[in-house]
Amino acid sequence: MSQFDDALLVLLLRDIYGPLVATVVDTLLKEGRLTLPLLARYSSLPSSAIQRALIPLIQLRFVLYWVPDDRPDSSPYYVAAPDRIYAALVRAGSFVSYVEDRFPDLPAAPTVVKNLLLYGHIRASDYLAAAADADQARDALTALLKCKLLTTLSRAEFSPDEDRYRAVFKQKLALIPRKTTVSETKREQAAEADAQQEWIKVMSVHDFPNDGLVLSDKKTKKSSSSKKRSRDYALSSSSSTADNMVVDESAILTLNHDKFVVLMRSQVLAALARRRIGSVTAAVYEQALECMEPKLFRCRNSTTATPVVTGLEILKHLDPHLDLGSSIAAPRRKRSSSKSSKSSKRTSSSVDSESESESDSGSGSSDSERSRKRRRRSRSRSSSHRKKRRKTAASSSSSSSGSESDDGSGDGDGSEDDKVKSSRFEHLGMHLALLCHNPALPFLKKLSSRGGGEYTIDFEVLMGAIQALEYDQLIARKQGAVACRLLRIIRSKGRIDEKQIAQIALLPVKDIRAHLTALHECGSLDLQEVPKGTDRAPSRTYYLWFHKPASAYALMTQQIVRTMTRCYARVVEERKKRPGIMSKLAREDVKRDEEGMLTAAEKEEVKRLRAAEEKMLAQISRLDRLVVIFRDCI
Amino acid sequence: MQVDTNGFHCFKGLVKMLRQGDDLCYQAVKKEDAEKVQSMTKDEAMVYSYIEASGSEGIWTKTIKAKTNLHQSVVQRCLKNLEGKRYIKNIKSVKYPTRKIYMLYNLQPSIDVTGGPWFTDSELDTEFISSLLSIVFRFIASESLPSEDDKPIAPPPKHRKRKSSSKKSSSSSSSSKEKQVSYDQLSFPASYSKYPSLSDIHDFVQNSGITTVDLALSDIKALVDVLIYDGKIETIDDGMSYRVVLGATAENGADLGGDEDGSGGVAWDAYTEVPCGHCSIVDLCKTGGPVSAEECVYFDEWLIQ
Repeated sequence: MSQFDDALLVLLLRDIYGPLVATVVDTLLKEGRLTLPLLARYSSLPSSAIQRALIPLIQLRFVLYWVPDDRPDSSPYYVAAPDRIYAALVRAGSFVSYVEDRFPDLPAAPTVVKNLLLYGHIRASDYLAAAADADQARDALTALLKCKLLTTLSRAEFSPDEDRYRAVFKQKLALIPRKTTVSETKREQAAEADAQQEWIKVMSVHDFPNDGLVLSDKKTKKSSSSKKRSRDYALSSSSSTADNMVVDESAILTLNHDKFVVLMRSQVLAALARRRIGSVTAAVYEQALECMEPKLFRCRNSTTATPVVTGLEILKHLDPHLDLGSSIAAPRRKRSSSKSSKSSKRTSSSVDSESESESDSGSGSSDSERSRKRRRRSRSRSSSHRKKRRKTAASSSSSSSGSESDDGSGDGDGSEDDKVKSSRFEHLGMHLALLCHNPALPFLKKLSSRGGGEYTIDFEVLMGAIQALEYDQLIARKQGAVACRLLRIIRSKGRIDEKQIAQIALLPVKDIRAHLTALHECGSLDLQEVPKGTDRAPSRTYYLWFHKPASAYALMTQQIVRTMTRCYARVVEERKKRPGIMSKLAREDVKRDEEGMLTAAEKEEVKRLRAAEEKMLAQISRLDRLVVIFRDCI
Repeated sequence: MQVDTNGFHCFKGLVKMLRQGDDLCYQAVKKEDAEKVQSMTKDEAMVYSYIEASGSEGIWTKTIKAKTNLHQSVVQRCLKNLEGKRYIKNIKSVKYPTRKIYMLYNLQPSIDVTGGPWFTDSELDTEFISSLLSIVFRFIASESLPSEDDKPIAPPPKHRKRKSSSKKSSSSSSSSKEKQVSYDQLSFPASYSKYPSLSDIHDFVQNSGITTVDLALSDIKALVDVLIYDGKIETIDDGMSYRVVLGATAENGADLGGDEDGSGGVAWDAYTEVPCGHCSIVDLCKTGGPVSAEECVYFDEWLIQ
């Protein structure tokens, strides 16, 4: 987190929670960890006011506290948690809308998220007692817990991770006895290794599938209804008893921002697959990611191995109406493709019949609902380029359908059904192969042919490639296509001289120099001087250009966050410009009846203000997608 | 050849003395060439011999001066005379654009001097290159994307769907119709091996008659590499063949205009859409600074859009 990120957080806090809270967090971000007296001194605020501000901040876990183990009665240190503030404030809107999309038949789910964004953490029983419809709330909590968007919270998590790790380390170090034969460094290394192992356990404490869930009491009616509802989400929980689980009322719940980043990443990946391969393959990919989802807990510092998904598993959950075959073109001349299809047919035909029947029974109303939603999404995203392709696809399909119906008429009914299933599996394999055989962007990695093919994702490689791609696109739009070409050349060659770049890029040296300087200015390139002699004369020096991805991405992220800050600052300013209308809108009676209480001119003004707000806030959440790619994905 | 006649022949300019390793050899000279040399003054002949020896590489005037030990003005005069008689010509080198380089009038400058097919009059012919790039890109695109003649391996299952959907709820049959509009994709399977290779592209460019310049395989490789660096194509099969990157357009693949990319591109373009993405004084911009988001005129324009 840089000072620019901090500026955004402070700005958001000032607008949402008021100047007092913002000042406290600002001081903590600038000065690091502070005790209450020090905090009062640096912020020039009275202690009582700071305490008032700290209560909600701690409740929301925007500020964490730490009491040293060896001095339990000393005053605690307070530490700001910028990552959490960022996640909770910037991603609030996308979190709610994602939950709305994902659980269309659970109206209480978005409300749960909204409340948790407001309160930070809630005991399940308290929430159920306060909720208008306890049954609906319970279903929503259970569903959200099952897909890990909610997680339980323990007291320890109100302390900073670094301190907790130090405590674990100290504990482990004390366990290893001091010996004269073993050096102190070695002892510390051993303790470090032990502590890290222990830490992985601590970090993954919420990762087991039934976290925050208990077996439901089957006698009550409530749980049976929840059982029915939760059926569709059972796929996201690997446990076989998942259907019978409901929320543990004694659990303290909070939002799991790590998991939400995982889901955002999946959306980014699927969108990219749609652009680079096609919408049908992207739908298959989306399904593959969804199958992996229960085992993906966080993007950064992931302690678990990347999960493996099999072809059969994907097929089982795949939208049954998704037409796989029509999107793969037949090779122009007959080739060896028949060989591969034969082998997969053999394995699939027997296993497939049962998987298909399962998917039929498993797909309830919500499944089709979700798929419809997905379809809508894909349609809205489809580009003009696709439109061109659509024409070709439509014409080819119409030309082929006639001939194909002749072929199909000879088949009997029963055998045809089997054939459809096996060919469907075969077609799925082709889509998965498309995802695997993509050298620039390896969407999937095939591990073996067991279970209809075992697939995984090498997130580090894939996200690295996506970051590079995304960065190139930003550079291309900002500096032009030529600059992007030069950047790619430099990236692939390592360190390279201007003349050689010109030679490879097939551009005159004098033309590329301006582009290189511009790239240098924006931080994507660096220059190394290698003198030929001892005199370091410029004419006798090699100048080698090179690209450092990590620093370039960090600088780009900084620019993006600064842009978000500016957007939000403008929103605040737009409101400030209209003090009259804002104070009127804040009145209770106006809130109740905006239509009646405002004049026509005021309505016009409010409309304009809201349009500006909307545009800025939408832009912020779209910019956040870039932040996810550059900062939070790996 | 008799030794005693050597002097005579050398004098007449009909035989040249050469050194091959440690041995001295003699080479016959064409009569016309010999006559040419005969008509020159001594100095001119000396300058001419060095220019002749340089072959298709050409020779720099300074080098001539150093080798002949003649005065600058003498060399200049000789060169002027020789050029006037059309025995030699002045050429421009790509490597050293400022040097005056001479070579025999009837010779073609070598690739080192001219810079290969990409140079016209010792300047990089960017228009020629960019037109070739777009032609090569279109060729690869046409070869690596299914055309209208290509049929899917399975047609959109209209008749099949009706049978299976009759068992299911009525809503699904209506949604299946929707699907054929929304899911549109036609890709070659991953095992497709007819993507063009370098020699295919070479053959295409040579046979298409686009250019009279003879392009070697390495020149085509250079073109294809540029396309790869532009993000328009990618290599597959360990770099043996090439295919187009989806989402790249023929004219400006990386420079995605708003219309080119449609709605799909917008989601990827959040940063450059905001005025800050193109602002040149963005580093000065902060609240209370010389420029700030609160007073930014570009934001005003952008908000009205």
